Amino acid sequence: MRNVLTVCPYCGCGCGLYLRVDGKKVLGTLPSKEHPISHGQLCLKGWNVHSFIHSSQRLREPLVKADPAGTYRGTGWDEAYSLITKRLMEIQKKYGSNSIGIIGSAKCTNEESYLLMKFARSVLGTNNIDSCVRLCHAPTIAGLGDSFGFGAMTNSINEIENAKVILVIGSNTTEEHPIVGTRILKAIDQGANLIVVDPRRTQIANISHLHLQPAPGTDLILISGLIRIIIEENLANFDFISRRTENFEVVKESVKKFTPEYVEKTTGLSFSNLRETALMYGHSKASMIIYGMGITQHINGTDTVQAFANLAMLTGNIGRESTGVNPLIGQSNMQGACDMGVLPDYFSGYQSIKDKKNVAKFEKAWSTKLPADKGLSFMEMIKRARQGKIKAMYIVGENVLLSAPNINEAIEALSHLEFLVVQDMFLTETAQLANVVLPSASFAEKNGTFTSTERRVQRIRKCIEPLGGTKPDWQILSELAQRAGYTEMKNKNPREIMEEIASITPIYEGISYEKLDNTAGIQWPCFDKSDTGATFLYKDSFASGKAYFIPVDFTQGSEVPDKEYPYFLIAGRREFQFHTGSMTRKSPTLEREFPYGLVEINPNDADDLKVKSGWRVKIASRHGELETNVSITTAVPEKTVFIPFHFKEGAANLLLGNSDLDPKSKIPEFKVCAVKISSI
Amino acid sequence: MNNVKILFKEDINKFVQICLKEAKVIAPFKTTYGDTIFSPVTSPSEVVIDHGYENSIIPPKEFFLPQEETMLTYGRYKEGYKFKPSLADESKRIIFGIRPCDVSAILFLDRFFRSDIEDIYYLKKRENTALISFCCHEPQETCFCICTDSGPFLTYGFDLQFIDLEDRYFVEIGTPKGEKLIKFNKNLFKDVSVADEKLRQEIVESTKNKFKSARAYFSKTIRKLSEGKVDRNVWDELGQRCFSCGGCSYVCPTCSCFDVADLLRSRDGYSRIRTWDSCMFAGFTKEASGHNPRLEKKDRVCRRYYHKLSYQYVEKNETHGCVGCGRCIVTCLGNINMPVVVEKIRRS
Repeated sequence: MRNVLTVCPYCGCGCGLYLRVDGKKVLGTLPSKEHPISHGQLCLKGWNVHSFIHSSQRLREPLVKADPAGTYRGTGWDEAYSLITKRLMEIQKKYGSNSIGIIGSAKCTNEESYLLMKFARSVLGTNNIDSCVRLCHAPTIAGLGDSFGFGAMTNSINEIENAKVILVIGSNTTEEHPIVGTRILKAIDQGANLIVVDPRRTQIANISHLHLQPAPGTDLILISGLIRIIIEENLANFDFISRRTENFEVVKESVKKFTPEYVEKTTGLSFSNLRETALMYGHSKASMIIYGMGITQHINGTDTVQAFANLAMLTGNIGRESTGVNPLIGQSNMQGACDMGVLPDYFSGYQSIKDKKNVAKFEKAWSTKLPADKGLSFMEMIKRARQGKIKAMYIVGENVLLSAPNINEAIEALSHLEFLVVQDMFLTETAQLANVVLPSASFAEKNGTFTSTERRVQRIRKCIEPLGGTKPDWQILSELAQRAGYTEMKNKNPREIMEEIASITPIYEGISYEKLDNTAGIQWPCFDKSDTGATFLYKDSFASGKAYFIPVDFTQGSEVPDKEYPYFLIAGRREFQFHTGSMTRKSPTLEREFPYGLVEINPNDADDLKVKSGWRVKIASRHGELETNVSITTAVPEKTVFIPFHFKEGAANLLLGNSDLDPKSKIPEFKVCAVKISSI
Repeated sequence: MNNVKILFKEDINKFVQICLKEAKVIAPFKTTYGDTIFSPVTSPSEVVIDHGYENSIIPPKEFFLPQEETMLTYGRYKEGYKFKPSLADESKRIIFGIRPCDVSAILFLDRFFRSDIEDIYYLKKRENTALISFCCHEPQETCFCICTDSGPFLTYGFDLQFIDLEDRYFVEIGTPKGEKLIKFNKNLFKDVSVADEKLRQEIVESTKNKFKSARAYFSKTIRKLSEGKVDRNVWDELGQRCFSCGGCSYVCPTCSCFDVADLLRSRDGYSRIRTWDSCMFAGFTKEASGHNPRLEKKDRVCRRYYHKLSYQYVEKNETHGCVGCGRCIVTCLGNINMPVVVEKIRRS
C-alpha cells in the first residue's frame, strides 16, 4: 500500500489528501492532517474521490462516430489524431480560424490549461477559447479585476476563523465548500458574527446570527443600501479611502437612490435588519465578505461583485488579514484555468491580448503569429454555433449539455457543428454528440498542479499509470499539436510545462516544482524564486497603485415571475453530488445519498398545488420543461423553488434561458428564472 | 502479572528485522509531508517509533476492515455465471507500534465480527495478525483514553506491549503469539530487574497526570442517555453542525458499519465490494419504500451517540463504544466529537 499525497479534484477548497494505492488500484482516500487546508478533514465527496477512478464507464480508447445515427467505433490514437488534424485544418482553411471554438476545463491541471490555450491561439489561430468560468465566476474575474487588480480571492481560507464579522452571500457554504464552512463555524465559536444572505434557509443560514432572505436577484440593491447606510452612519473609513482608492465621490453619489424605502420594497427586507447588518459590518475591523455563485450567476453579477469591492473599500476591510472580498470557486482548478488564460481576452496571468506588448511577447516565446481579435466567450460560441457561424468545437472535460443554460438550445448548437471533438474520462452527454472522443486520464493518473480558490498552487501527483488506452490531457494536446506541424509543444512532462508557464507569466514566475514539492503550495502572486507568495493581497498597494470605486446600478433580468410563470426557480448544488455528476454519480456512497433530482417546494405552495413529497411534477419555464420529484421543505420561501442541476434526469438547466447575458462578463442569468408547476 | 522482559533501545532495529522475517510488518510511517499513517514497511529505518509519534490519521482497523475490499467477483460466460470468492489475505502480519487505544478498539471489533455471523473476511485477517503495542507517554491534546479506560497502558489485548523506560523498553507478553516472537530471540530480551519494575510503575503514574485536557466524564452521560433524559435541544444544536461527511465513522476505531455494492468493474465482470459506511448518511437507513426513520441529521447524531454510549449497547459489548483516541476531534467538520457531546449531555 502506497500513500500518495495529492489534491482533491472536486471543489475549489484545495484539500490535501492521500490516495491509497495497492498495485495498480486506488482503494481509498484519507485526509492529510498536516495540510494547511484539510487539517485531517474531508467532506463526503473528498472521502470518496477514489471511487470513480476505476469505473467501468471510463473510456478506454478513442471513439470515432461511424455513422450519422451516432454509433461509435473504437480506434487507435493515430487514426483519431489524423482525423482531428485533417478536419480542423479543412475547416480552418474553408471558414477561417474564428470558425473554431475551444472550451477548456476547470478540472484540467494548470499545465494542461496552459497547453490548451497555447494550442488554441498558436495551432488553431483563434482567441475563441473559454471555460465554464463563464458559467460561474466570470463576474469575479472581471469585477474584482477592475476594482482591485486581480480577479481572485483577496484573502485566505485560514484567515476566516479570525474574522469578527462574516458576510456570507449567495453561498451555501457548508454544502458547496465544506472546508470553508468549518472555518466559519470555528469563527462563530470564537465569537464572530455571521450574517447570511440567501433566499433559501441553508444549513449555514441556520447557524447565522442574522439571515436575510432577499427576493432573488436583488443582492446589488441590498449591498448598495448597506453602502448608503454606512456612509450616513459615519462609518466610512476616510483615511483608507483617501490613501488607497479613487473615485469614491462618484459611488457616494450613485448610492443615494438606494433609499431605505426603495431597498425595502425591492428586496423585501426590513430596514432594521439592513441597518443591523450595516452596523455590524461597518464597525468591525475584521469584516470578511464571502460569496459564491448566488451572486455571480446573474446578469448583474459583475456589478454586484464590484459593489462588494466598494463596500470593502468604504470600510477599509481590504488589504489586511481576515478581511477582503472572497469568491468561493466551485471547481478544483477553475482559478487555474483562468490564471492560465483559458479566456477569450487574456493570456496566462491575466495579460490582456489587447496589449500589443503582450502579443509580441507570446509570439516570440511561441515562435508563431497570434490572432489579434478578441475571442468569443462560452455562450457566444454556443450562440454562433447555433447560427452556423462556429463550425467546429474542441471541448475538453466539460459537460456542456448539462452545465450550459437552455440545454435544448445547446444540443441544437452542438448538433449544428460540422466537427466536434470531446476529450473526457467518460462518454458524457456532450461526448455523445462528438465526431471524435478522446479518452483522458483521471487526476490520479497524471502529474501537474491545481490552483485553489485561495490562489494556492499545489502539486497533484500521479499514483497509477493512465488506465489502459487513456492519456493525460497534456500529452494528448502535445501530440496533437505536433501532428498539426507545430513544433513548439513537444513537452516531455508537466514539470517542463510549468517552467515555460513561469517564464512567461509574472504572477507564476517564482513557482517551480522544486518549490512546490517542499511546500503545501504557494499562493500567487509569486514573482521570483525567493518569493513565498501572498496569503492576502494588496497589503501596501493595489495592482495598479490605487483601488477604484466603480459605480453600479441595478438591472432587472427579464425572467421574473408573472401570472403564467408564478414561481422563482433557483438552480444550484447539493453536497453529495458534484456538477453534472460525471464523477460523483459513479460512487456508490454518493449516489445512494442523493440518487435523483428533485424540486424543493415550500409547504404552503405544495398545499396550493395539491402535491405531496415524492410526487412527480412537471415544471415548465419559457424555455423548456422537465419532470421531477417533489421535496417539501421550509428551506425555500414561498413562491420560490430550488432544483439541483446535477442530474440528466430532470436537468435544471433545461429551464433556463440563455439570451440574458451580463454585459460586463457575459455570464448568463442562472439564478433567476420564472417557472410554473403542475402535478402529473 | 504478564511475563515481562527488557529490550534495549539499541536493539530495537534488530527486533524489527526479526519481525520483518516472520511476517509483513505494518508500522507507523511518517510521510515526507509529516503525516503519520500506518503502512507496510520493508526496513527498520521506515518505522517511526519515538515516544511522541502521533496517532495515525485513520486507525489500524483499516487492515481488518479496509475502506474498500473486494468480497467476490462474478461474470457471465458462455456456460453461465461464474462466481469467484476473493477471500481475505492470509499472509502473516504484525502491526508494530499500534497504540493501546487502537488495541482496545480491535478487541471491541472482534466482539462484533464474531457475534451472530462469523465474518471470515475480518476474522482471517485478525487471526493472522499480531499486535505489538507501544504505550503513550506523551498524550496528544486530543487524547482522552484515560477517561475511557482504554489506555495509555493495557493489561490485556495486546500480543506484546512496549513501555518506554528511557534507554530500554519494558516488554510485556500478552499472548502465546507474542511469546513466540520473543522466544526465538532470547539473546535480545533481557530479564527485568526490580529497578525496572519500579521505573515502570513511576512512568505509569506520571503519565496519568499528563492528560490535562481530557475531561470526558462518561458515567453521568451514559446514565442520562440511557434513561432518555437528554434535552432535545442538544441534538438539535448538534444536528445543525453536522456536515454528513461520515468522517466520524471512517476514523472511529470502533465503528464497524459497512455497505456492500455490486459494481461493474470491467467489461465482463462485476465486483462485489464492501466499503466503510456511516450512520451519518441518510442513505444508511433509507428504506425501499422511500421512508427514512432517521431523515434529519439531528436524529442521526442522536442515534450515533446512543449506539456508542447507552446501557443497551454497553451491556451487549461489555463496554461503551469509545476508546478515547481523539480522531473524531480532528476530523469532524462541525466540531461534534465525543468529549463535546459527553459534556453537552452531562450539562443539559
